[in-house]
Amino acid sequence: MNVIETQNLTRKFGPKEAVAGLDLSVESGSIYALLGPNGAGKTTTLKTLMNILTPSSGKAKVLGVDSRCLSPKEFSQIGYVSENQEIPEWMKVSEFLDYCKAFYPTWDGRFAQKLVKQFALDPSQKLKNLSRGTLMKAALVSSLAYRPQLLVLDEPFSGLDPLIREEFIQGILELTDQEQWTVLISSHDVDEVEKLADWVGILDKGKLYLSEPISKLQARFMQMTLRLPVSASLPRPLPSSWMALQREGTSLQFVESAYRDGMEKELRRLLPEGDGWGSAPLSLREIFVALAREFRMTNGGGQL
Amino acid sequence: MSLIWHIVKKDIRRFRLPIAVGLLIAGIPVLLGILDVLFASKDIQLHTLYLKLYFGVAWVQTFFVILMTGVTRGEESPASTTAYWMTRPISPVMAVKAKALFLGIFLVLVPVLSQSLVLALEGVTARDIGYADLEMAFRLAENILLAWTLASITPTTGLFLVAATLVFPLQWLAGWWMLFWKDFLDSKADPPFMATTLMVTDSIVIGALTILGGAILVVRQYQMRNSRRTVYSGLALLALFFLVQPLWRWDLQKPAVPSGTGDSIHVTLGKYKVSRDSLGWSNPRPTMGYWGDLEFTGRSPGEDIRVLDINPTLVLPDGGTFSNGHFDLGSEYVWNNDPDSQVAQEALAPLRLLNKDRFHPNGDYLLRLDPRIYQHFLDRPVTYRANLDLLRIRYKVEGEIPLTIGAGFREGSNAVTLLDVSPVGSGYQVKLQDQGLDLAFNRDPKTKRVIFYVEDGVFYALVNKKLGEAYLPEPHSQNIRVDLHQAKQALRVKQETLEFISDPGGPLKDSHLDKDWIKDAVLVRVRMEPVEEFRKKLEVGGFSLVENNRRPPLFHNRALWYSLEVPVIETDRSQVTDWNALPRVKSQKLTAPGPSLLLDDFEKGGTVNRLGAYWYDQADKNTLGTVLHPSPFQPQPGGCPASPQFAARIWGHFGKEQYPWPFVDLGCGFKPKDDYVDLAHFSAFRFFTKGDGKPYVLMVDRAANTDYGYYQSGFTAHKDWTQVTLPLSGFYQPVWAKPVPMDWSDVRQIQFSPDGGVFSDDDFDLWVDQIELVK
Repeated sequence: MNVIETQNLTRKFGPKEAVAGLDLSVESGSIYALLGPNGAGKTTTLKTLMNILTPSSGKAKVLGVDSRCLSPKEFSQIGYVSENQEIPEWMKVSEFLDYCKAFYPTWDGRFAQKLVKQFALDPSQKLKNLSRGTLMKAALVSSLAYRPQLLVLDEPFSGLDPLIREEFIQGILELTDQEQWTVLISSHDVDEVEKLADWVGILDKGKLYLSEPISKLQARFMQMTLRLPVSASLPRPLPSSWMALQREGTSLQFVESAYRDGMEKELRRLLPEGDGWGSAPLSLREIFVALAREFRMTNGGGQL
Repeated sequence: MSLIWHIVKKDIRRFRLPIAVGLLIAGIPVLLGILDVLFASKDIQLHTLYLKLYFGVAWVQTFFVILMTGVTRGEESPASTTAYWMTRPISPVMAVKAKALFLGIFLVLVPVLSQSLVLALEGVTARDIGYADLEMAFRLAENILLAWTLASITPTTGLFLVAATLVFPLQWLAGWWMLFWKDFLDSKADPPFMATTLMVTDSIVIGALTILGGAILVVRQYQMRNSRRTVYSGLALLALFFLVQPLWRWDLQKPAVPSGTGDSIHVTLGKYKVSRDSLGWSNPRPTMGYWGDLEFTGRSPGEDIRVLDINPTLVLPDGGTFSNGHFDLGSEYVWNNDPDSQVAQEALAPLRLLNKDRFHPNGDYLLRLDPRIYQHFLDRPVTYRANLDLLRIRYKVEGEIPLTIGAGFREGSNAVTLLDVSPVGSGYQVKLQDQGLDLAFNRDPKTKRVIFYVEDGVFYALVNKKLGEAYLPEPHSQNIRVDLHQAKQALRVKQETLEFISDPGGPLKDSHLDKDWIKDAVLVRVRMEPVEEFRKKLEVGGFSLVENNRRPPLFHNRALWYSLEVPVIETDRSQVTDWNALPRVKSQKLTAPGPSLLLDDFEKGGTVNRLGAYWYDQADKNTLGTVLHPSPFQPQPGGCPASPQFAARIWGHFGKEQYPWPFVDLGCGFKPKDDYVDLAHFSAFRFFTKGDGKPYVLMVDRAANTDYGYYQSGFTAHKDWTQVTLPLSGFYQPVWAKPVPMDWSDVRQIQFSPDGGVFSDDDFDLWVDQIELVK
């Protein structure tokens, strides 16, 4: 069952399409990472899903409900944390949690207390006095304490120092082991997402280029290396699954994006003069770099 | 509700400092009121100072309300895409309700309670406090909704302040724009009418629309999630509304017309006296004061002095003065249609006015004071000084109307037609139709309803020239019926009913307004024309105000007379209008090119028949149970086989057949201007009908009938469409009617009606279609 499903979802700002015909499905129980460079449309997608923005066209369903019709009933099962969310910073942490508590019938006070301890939050501190990372933690506690079915995190790691980021991820992972929720996370921080997500989607210029489980993705992307005489020619046309091809002297390397067991024989047939064949799996980051080059993604995705 | 209150409590914590400031602002007037009562009761200067402070605080409060409304934008903001509440279980409606409750408590309820307390301290009655509070709440709501609308589309407080700085002055400027426009209309209208008198109604309408429009825009903004297009288009419409709303009154402008055929009555002038008479009690919110009559005596016939404006000052024995500005008594052209006896008698001289003692002068406001000021003059001898802006007017007989149905005359663009004369009680009832009158909206002081007023400075008198006697209409007999639909047209139509009653208690105890007297009577229409404006000073010493909370009896004190010298002007002697020379209405022969003349088949679905006259329906309002549909008349879908699109239908309930008698009819004339026609070329009416199987009649309204005893012929409205032919030779008068010869040369209109002889407290349903006159 899909917790989130969009069909041809489009959101325009004037003539510009921030989200362009997006077809996205997020399975129940998954941790789905929506990756893309800055300006790819990740935040707009999430805001449209949360009915903060109305779609220009297309449809989006969240928890089985049209995003434009999301009501308090659905929002009581959704946790949303955004990097620049306006929370009442004049409140203390404890006041903030007490204020939120009234709106959620499923609010678990003990769970909230546990989260506060786990994230090392000081209840007597005013939110405006907290560091950015701690503030994100407080916002996360306020969005987890009622055990939402769906947790939506918009760029949660942005601006966090490595230690806080690690704590943050560990916290979510531990909870995910305990709770049966679905997490949709948007980020351009590939390394952190790799630790967290089990499903990934790549967004650029408002379009979804890829959406599949990370394990499957890593299984089908393989870095291939071999030696090839200078005089040897490459097959024409190049196989469409080859990406990031580099040839320097007798050294040739490329990324096979449709790798499967026993594929080396096929590759040897395509390059009979090659020898010294080697293959190595790619990290998520390396996959994204390859993809970025292939699709000529927008600059600014330096972390990809 | 608990969640809404949960949000409100959060907002109270959030804005505790501004709330404290707001409470302080609301508390200052209360403090001033207490100080005022304790220490300033005998010191009017100190009291005036308190009053200025009070009004200063009111201004501060207005700014506070606007600012505070904008500041609350930060909580549950509808203008942001990062608002926390949007992804919480808080619906837009809940957010709006919470904000409305918060703003209502601290920006409306608190100031209103503060005002109530101040007024109560000053001894103002609960009723007046209620009026004052309603008005205050209305104005505060207006400001809050406008500010809230701005706050809903401005994502930061800074932008809100910029927008408010631009928009609120524009709102005030819109008021000036309205004034400018009204003055322009005043100057162009002929005869002029004071369009500015409509300002009160307009400002209430604008306020209500601002509140309603603002509420809709705010709710839409919360619901539509940052859909600025919706709000901007709404604001654009609101701005457009501000700019063009004065055009609403454009249709009240009347094209210039030459002056009437009447002429001025002979005038000689001498010294005038003004009297303070019948000082009475009045307590309209927001002021309290005295009204009285400024009666100008010793004038010559045909001329009068009217008070336009009074600038009063109260002088205390110690020389201290208090002036509360001037107050306009209304338009110089707003006349009461019931002139006082003296004026009317002079205007009608040398006729004897037989029912003159039935009329009492209408009071003017001599003094209107703020309730808190009022209290300071209680039981203290004061001198009243005033500058009176006066207007000299001249009475002009515009014309005479014989008591014949259909008689009338035209004066400029005004056309007056006599509709009916019938006996009533110890007198007669006259119905008139005026076209082209200056109408205006105004507020009835008793019912508080907005109604039409006739602002034409005209009155009527019933005159018997042979006997040299006259009657004025009963002061409260006027029953003016204005067709609202037609009132929107360039030519406005008004119907009014005047009652002339003999006065056994008057000076001529033997006078009787009976059929012998009225036999030679005519209806005279008199217009009051302005001549010049001038100013006089009035000083009345040694009186004191009565306690506001009790209503003293009216009293007359003829001993108090004050002389005013009024400049003398000489006017030419002129002739009274030759009444017999005025035009009369005559009937026109109605013909048909073929064997019949189609009066109407209703196929256009409108209310104008094929000859250009209007269809209408009407029923009694005698509380006999009569109900009529449709009202106003409109053709209904479905028709007879010959014309299937539309037909005329009336349905409802016919009241109980008893005095003062029910009636229901569907009627139309034969000419666009309600003229009379001659049906000599025709022998019968033919039409299709259907209905409830009950008996109905077709009546022919003629000039000869003066008692509704029209010639009529009966028919049955069967369940299915049936064609009926009613020969004119078969028409008859009811048994109770005054018999008149059968003659079709003075026909005004026809009417379909339930047969009054059969119907009583019964439902009716009548369809008619394809109505023809047959040769």
